[in-house]
Amino acid sequence: MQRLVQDDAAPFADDESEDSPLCLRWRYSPDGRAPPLGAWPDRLHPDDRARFLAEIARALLAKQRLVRHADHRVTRADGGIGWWHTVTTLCPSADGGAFCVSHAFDVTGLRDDPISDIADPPDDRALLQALIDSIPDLIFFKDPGSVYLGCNRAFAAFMGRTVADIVGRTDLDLVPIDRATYFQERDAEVLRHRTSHRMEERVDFPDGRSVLLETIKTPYYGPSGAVLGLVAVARDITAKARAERERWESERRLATLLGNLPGMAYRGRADAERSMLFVSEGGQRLTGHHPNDLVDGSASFGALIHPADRDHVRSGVDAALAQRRRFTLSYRLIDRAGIVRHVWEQGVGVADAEGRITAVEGFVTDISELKTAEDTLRTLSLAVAQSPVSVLIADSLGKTIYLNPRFRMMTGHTLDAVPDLDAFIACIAAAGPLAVTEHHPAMWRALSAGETWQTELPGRKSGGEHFWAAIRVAPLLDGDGRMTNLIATMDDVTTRRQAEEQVRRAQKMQAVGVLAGGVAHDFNNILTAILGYSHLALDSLPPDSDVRDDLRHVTAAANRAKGLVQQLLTFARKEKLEREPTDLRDIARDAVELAEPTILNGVEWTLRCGDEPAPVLAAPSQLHQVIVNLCKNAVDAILEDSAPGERERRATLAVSALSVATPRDLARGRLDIGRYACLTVSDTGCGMSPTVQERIFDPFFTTKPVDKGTGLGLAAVHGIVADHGGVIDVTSAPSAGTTISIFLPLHDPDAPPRRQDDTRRVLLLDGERIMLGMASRLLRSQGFRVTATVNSRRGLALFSVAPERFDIVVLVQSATEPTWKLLTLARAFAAASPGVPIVVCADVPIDHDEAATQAAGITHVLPTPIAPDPFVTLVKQLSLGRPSPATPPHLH
Amino acid sequence: MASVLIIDDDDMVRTMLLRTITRGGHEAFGARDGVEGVARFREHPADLVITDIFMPNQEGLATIMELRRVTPNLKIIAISGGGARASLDVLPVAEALGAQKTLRKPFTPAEVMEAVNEVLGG
Repeated sequence: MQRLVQDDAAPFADDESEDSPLCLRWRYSPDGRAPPLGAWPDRLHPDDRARFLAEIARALLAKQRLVRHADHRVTRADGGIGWWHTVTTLCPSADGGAFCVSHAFDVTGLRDDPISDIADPPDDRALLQALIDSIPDLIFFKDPGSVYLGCNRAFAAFMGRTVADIVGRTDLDLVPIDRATYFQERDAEVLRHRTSHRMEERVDFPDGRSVLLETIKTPYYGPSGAVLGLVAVARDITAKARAERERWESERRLATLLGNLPGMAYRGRADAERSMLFVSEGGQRLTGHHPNDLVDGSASFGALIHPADRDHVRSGVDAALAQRRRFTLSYRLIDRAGIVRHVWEQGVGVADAEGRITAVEGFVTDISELKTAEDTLRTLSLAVAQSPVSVLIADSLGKTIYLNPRFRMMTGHTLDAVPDLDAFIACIAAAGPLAVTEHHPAMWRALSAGETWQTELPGRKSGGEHFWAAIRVAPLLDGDGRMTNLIATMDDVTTRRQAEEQVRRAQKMQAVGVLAGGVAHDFNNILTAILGYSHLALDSLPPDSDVRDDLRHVTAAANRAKGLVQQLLTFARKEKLEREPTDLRDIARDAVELAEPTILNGVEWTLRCGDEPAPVLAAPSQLHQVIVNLCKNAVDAILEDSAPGERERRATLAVSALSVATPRDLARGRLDIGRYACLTVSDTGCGMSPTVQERIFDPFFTTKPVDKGTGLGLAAVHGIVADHGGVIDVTSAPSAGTTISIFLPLHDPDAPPRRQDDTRRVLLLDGERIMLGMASRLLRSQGFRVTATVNSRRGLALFSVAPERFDIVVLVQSATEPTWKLLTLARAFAAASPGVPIVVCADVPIDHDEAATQAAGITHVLPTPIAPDPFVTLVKQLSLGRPSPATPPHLH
Repeated sequence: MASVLIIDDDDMVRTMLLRTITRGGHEAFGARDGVEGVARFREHPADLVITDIFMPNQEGLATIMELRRVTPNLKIIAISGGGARASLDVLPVAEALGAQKTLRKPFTPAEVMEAVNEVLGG
């Protein structure tokens, strides 16, 4: 502390003049003695004295600028305040002080500053108050009884009172009682323990302001060391607390974030070992090692990298660091448990001020699942690309994104030709863009409803080959159910369609058969009555009666009905007529001769028969029916042609023998390898649309007027040809005529009729299961191969389908079975294949004619119960084609 | 004038046949099925039996066999319009069992008379 010392030698000048400077000599001393009153610097204004003396002290300390200039205020002799400019010359003395000479000039009039009027220099208490008032913190002090001894203005303002209002009071007078009690307890604590106490408390102001105060209360002591009271400083730490909380929150967030990352965030050295400086929680999940182990070196991250991938990782990281760029790598890690994981890493070098890479920061995550998904995806995409089905993937508007090679193979169209779904359909459909017009609305209606649309339509392959295309277009939905893409597939379902078609036709035929059989009996009775009574009535009427003509119409109508029922029955009965080896050319000649005067009348016709024989094993009357029906249709088609005259009106029949070396697909069905007799009927008539072609063999389907067609003609053709083991081919187009070809297996009289091996095959039918089991065991024990059934219909069906598979049929009569039924069944078997011997075992002794068994096609009758030896011997002999035993066949 | 037994379960057909035969100058009587037919035949043996095949109780083929046991040389005409369930053609079997003539329904009175006269005359 510096003190001013009056220089003894220098008299204090009282005779101040306004014009001449005063010369004042004095002594500056750095020691602690108080300057004597009346010394010159005492006249310095209290506000300027410290600054003035500080300047002197600084100059002495720096030992330079020993002449000081200063402007300062002084108290004049009259007590007024004036401004002096003082020039002080310093002569440093050995004790660190200085002898000073100050020349003072009164510059009061020259200055603009108002001269503050300090009437009363502050006393210590006032100074203290002034000092603490200048501090923005809240300051107060209390006596040991918690009575406020003083406070600063900030505290008073904080409390909403004046300083005078606070002094002498306690907290009880100033704040709510609970707060006051709390404060006083704290006060007592501080005084008792003689320690500082720090507390934070939130204070809410009536104006809504909320402030966090940090208050430090400290005891203060008197010269004897006794506690005189406590002094407290309180500070608004709201902002600081908020900042601290935010920093803490941000740190916590970062920690949570890093901990929750699906992988390992790290900071490591840029060395080959990848030694770590920091590893997030995720490191444990990724590597199986605790993050601390990776950091302190007990586990090396670099060593966890799959040996085969280390070089790749090393060079990847080094290259990126050298170029100051981010690196992204995929490689394998082997975790602590030895499990190989596919990981993905991204990192970047961290450079110091000089630009040297000092660390690497980044993130490593497990992509094993992704990798699996990626592999799956690759497999899927290969599957789509190599699928036997044509696949098109489009965006949600139907624009093509992808088309698999199969589509190009099938249709010959490349991606360029298939810009969208419509083009996809147009390229497939035989009808081309017409098919698009037909299907577009329905397709988009389904797709916009999120549904799959599918259809089957006639298609055409690149080679012009017709086929059935099954097209399916499905929306692909994302996780939210939004349609993102469309996938269209197209498959060739010709085979299935044909099979279905056959089944459908067979079912329809069967239905017709059942219907016809059921109706025919009653119908024939009714017709008999109608025809009968009409004739009886006619016979009773006088020759000139008007009613006769009416009755003739009744008879004519009944006759028409009779014809229809006959056709239905033929159809339903599926009777197997006797087949005989015959030349298809002869049948065709006969049939044409038969049809010429009636059916072929009015059109030109040609019959072309090849030179090569076309022998078939067939029922001639049925083939007649086939040819006549085909001719009838041909003629109808010609006569119905809406544009006659433009084309010739000609029907052509051709018969030839041909060999098929490779299986050939026909419009319906398939022509297998073999030799065939082929009959073709072509016309130049109106032709048929594909839709009509599809249905022509359906029973009751007809395009003819009601009174002309029964819808059974071609159905019968189909049935007969199929019965003969043949197939039918149809080619036709509207206005381009129709060609129908039938292919019947060529009959080779020299070919063995059945397989010739030692195993004889027996079809065994018995209504009683026990008997059936017994008989079949008996035959099997003798080396026969036995097909046994209790169901006569099934047995007949098995046999009809392939009679050549059996060498003999054995029918055993059951107790309840009437003889006529047995005979009818035998007859049905005989009709199906006349050459196969039929043995009947019957147990009902009935008088009869041998003729009946012969008519039923029975080869031999055995009495029941069956005697094993004669039974086996007979079956053996008959199945080997040897003559049966001498006894003539008859029922006993 | 011959005596003719007509066995048919269908009243319309049977009545029509009775009328046709009667008008044709023969005596005719009817039965509704094989059992009744054989019974009536035993009461009153006829010169000719016209029988349907598919009938309730006893069908035609069994009836033919039974009648021929009673009267081996009996003249028989079998008539049928097809079975109600099985689509079987049984007339050839009937013929084999001893029916001299078979007629497929529907037929006209003239056809019936022709057959009757042929069988009776033969």
